[in-house]
Amino acid sequence: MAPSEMRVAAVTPDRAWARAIERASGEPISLCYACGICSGSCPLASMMDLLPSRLMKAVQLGLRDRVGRAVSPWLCVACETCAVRCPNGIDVARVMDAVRHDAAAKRVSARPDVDAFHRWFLWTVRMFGRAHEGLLSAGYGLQQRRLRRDLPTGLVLLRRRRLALLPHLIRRRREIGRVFRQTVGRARTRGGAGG
Amino acid sequence: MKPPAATLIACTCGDALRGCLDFERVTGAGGTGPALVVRDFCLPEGRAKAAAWLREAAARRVVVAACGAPMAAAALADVATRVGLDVSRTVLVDVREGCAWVHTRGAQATDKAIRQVRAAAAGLAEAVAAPAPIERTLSDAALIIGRGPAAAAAAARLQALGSKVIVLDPPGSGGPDSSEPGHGGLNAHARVCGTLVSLDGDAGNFQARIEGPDGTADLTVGAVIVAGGPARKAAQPEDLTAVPLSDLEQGLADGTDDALPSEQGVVFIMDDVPWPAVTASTLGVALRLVRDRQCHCLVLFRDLGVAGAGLEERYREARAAGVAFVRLGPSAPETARTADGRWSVRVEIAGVGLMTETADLIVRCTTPGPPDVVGLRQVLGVGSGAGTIGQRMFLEPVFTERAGVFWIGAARAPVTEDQAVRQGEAAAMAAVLAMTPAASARAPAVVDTERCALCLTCLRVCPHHAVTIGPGPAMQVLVSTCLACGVCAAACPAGAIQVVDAPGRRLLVEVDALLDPPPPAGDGGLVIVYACANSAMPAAQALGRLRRSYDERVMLVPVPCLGRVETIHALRPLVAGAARVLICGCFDGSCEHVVGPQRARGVAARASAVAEALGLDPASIEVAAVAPVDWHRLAALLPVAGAVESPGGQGVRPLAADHVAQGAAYGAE
Repeated sequence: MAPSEMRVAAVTPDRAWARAIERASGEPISLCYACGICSGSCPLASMMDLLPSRLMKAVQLGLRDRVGRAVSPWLCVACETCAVRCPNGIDVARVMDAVRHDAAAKRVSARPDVDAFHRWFLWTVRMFGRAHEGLLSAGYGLQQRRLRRDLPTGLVLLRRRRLALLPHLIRRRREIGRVFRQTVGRARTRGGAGG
Repeated sequence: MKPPAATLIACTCGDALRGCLDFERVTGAGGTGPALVVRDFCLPEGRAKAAAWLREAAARRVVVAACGAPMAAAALADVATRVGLDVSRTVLVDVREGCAWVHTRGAQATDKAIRQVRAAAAGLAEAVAAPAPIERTLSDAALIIGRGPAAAAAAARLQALGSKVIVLDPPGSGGPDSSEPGHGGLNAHARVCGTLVSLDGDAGNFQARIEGPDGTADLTVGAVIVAGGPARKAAQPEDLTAVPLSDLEQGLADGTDDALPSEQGVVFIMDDVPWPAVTASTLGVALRLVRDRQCHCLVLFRDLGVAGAGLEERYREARAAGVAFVRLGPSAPETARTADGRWSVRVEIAGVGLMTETADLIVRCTTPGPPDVVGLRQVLGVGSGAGTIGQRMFLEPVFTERAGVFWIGAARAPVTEDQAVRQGEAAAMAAVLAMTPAASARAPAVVDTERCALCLTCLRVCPHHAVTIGPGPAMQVLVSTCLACGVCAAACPAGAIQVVDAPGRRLLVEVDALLDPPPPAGDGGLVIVYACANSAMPAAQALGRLRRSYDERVMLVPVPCLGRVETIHALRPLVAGAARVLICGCFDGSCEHVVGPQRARGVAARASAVAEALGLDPASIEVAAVAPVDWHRLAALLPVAGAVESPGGQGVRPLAADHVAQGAAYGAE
C-alpha cells in the first residue's frame, strides 16, 4: 500500500469489535506488546500483508476495517509456532481463527477463495463423515471456475488411485450432523460463526 | 664530592644464605661503610639488634641486603622508624630471591649481590632529600547537593564509613522536608539551606561558600557530591488543550476532582524518552482510569523504558486491564478539535496504517528536564566542555574532571532507583578516598615551583588526574590522589617534579653503579632488566622462591611503573657496556598507572633509533609484558643460566612485531 493511500484510509477504532474478537478467541489479546516474535517465526509471514504482530496490534486497537482488508488471517495455517513462542502466552492462530469466523459470519472475506475452500471442505465432512477430496475439488473448482486448471491433476491422481471416486462413508453418520449443529451453534454464541 | 658511605645490614636469613653468599665479600664491598650481618632481620630480635646498631653507628643512609619478602620491607620501615630515619633514606636489596637462590655457579651470586648493594648505595647517595611532607588537614565532611535516592544512598554510605554529611537544601525549601515522597529521611549531620556560590581548594580541602536567606556561610568540606539540583519545572505543553499528567495524578490522589474523566477516551502522549518515574505514573494513572472510571486509555509512546526500571509488572497489569499502547512512528500525532468539542488524534501505526482516535482528554506526559545544574557546573568548574559529563558517562560513572567532585543520580541522567543507589554508594566510596590521603603509604610527587615551566606536561601524562594548576604560577600535585608512580617526574622537561624513591637521575646512577666495573670482556655483558614493581618484580621473586636458575648477568632494577623509565635509562646501560636492556612490566590494561606499557614502548622505539645512530644494536632494547604470577613467561624472557647470549641471539626473546609497531607509533606522536 502506498503511503499516500494509507494517509487517506485512516480507520477509527471499534472497541466493541475488539472485545468481541478477544471473547471469541479466548486469548488475552490486550496483553500483546507487539514484540514481533510471532511475525519472526511465522512461516507464512512473507506472504502476509499484515504481519501477525501487527494484526494483533490492529485487533487490540479495534481497527476492524484494516483487519477486514488483510489477507493474513486467511493465509494462516494454524501451525501454532507463534503460540509456542509468544512471551505473553497468546495463541495468535486462535486469534486468526476468531477473525476468520467473524468475517465468515458476515460473509465478507479478503480471500473468498480460501473461504470457499473451507466451506466445501466442511461440506464433505458433514455429508460423509470424513473429507472427500474428489468432491471437494470438484465443488471448489466449479465454484471458483478453476476446474479446467485442476482437472488434469485430478485425472492423474484418479489413475494412480490417490483419489477415490466414491466417498468413504462412516458408520453413524447422523452423529456428525449433531456434532456440526452443536459446534456451529456454540461458535455463534461465542460471537463468531461456524464456517 | 663523594658522599659519606651508606651503612649496610646484611641478613643471612637464618643460615639459608650462608652457603650461597660470601657475606665477608658482600660486607667488604666498596661503596658501603660499616656493615652488620644479622641472622634474621625480619624477626623482632634481628630488628632490635639492627636498630641498636644503627643508633650506635649514627647511620644516615642504610642499605639492607635481605630478601624480597614483604616482611623484610616491613621490618626495614619499623627499624627506620625506631632510629628516627626517614624511609626514603633506606633501601632494601633483594639478595635472596634475586641472587642466592637462583645463581648457583660458584661466586657468581656473590658478585651480583655486591653489584646490587653498591648500586643501591650509589642510588641512596644520589637520592634527593625527601620532599617535606605536606602538612594538611583533610576535611572528613562531604557536601551533598540534591536529594533523591542517589543522595540518600551516598549519605548513608558516607556515614557508615565514618564521614560527616552536610546536605545542601535548595533555597526556599525551608529545610528538610520529609513529607516529600521518596525524598525524605535523608540523614545528615548538618543541613544548610542556600545556594553554592563558590568552591575553592582541592579534593580533601574544599572551601565552599553558601549563600542562604540568613547570610553567607563558609564550609570546609573534603568532597562534593552533586546528586541533583534545583529541579526544573516541567515544560508547559505548547497546546493548552493537553492536561499535564501531574494534574491528573493529583486529582486521582485526592479523589475529589469532579473534572476527572469518566467513561471517556483518554489519550496519553509521551513524545520523548521519559524518566522512569514518568512512565510509572503514566501507567498508574491509565490503570486507575480504566479500572475505576471505565475510561478508554490509549498511550502513545516512543520509549516506555519499563525494562530495567522494575515496571514490567505494572506494564503488564495496565495491558491486561485494557490500556492500549501504540509506539509512535517518526511523525508526531496530530490532534484536532472535532465538531462536538472532542478531540481527534491521528496517529500512524508502523506497518498497520493511520488511525484516528476520538478522545475527550489528551494528557501530556512531559518529562521534567534534568535538574538545572548549569549554574552549578560553572560554580564547581566541571563539565565545561559541552556535555562532558554525559559523553564520558560510561567511562567515569561518578567522577568529574575535578578531583573530589562527584556527579551522580538525576543530575547526570535519567536513572532508575537501583542505578541511583549504586551511583550514590560509588560516589561515597570515592569521596572517602578523596578525603583520605592516599599517599600515606607512598610519598607523593612534589613540584618544585621555582623550576616549573607550566608546560602542563604533567597534567597531560598523570594517569590519576592528580595534577592541577596550583595556587600561584606552578603546577600542584594533589596529595589525596597521587600514587607516586613517577610518570610525571619522568616526563617533566624541566625536571621540576620529584618523587621520593627513584627520580630519573637516581635510577641512572644505580644503573651506572651496577655496570661498574664492567664485566670482563668476552663474557657477553650484563642484561639490565627494568622490572615493574607490580608485575615483573613479583614474577622474578617467584622465580627465586622456586629456585629457577637464570643467568647471573641479569640485573633487576625495580621501578614503581614502567612509565618512569625514560629514553636515557634505556640507552645508558648499552653505552656503559651492557649487552641488553629489557623493560619488563604489566600488560596493556593491567597497568596500575594506565600508561606504563605504552610509554615504555615509546621509550624503547626512541632509544632504539638513537642506539642505531650510535652504532649500537637497536634490537638490544626490548619491551615485554608479564603477569605477576607468570614466572614461566619471565623465565622464557631471561637468558638461561650459562648461555652466552649475543645480541639478536636466542638468550632474550625478541619483541613481538606488533609491539614494535605500536611503540614506533607512540614514539612518532
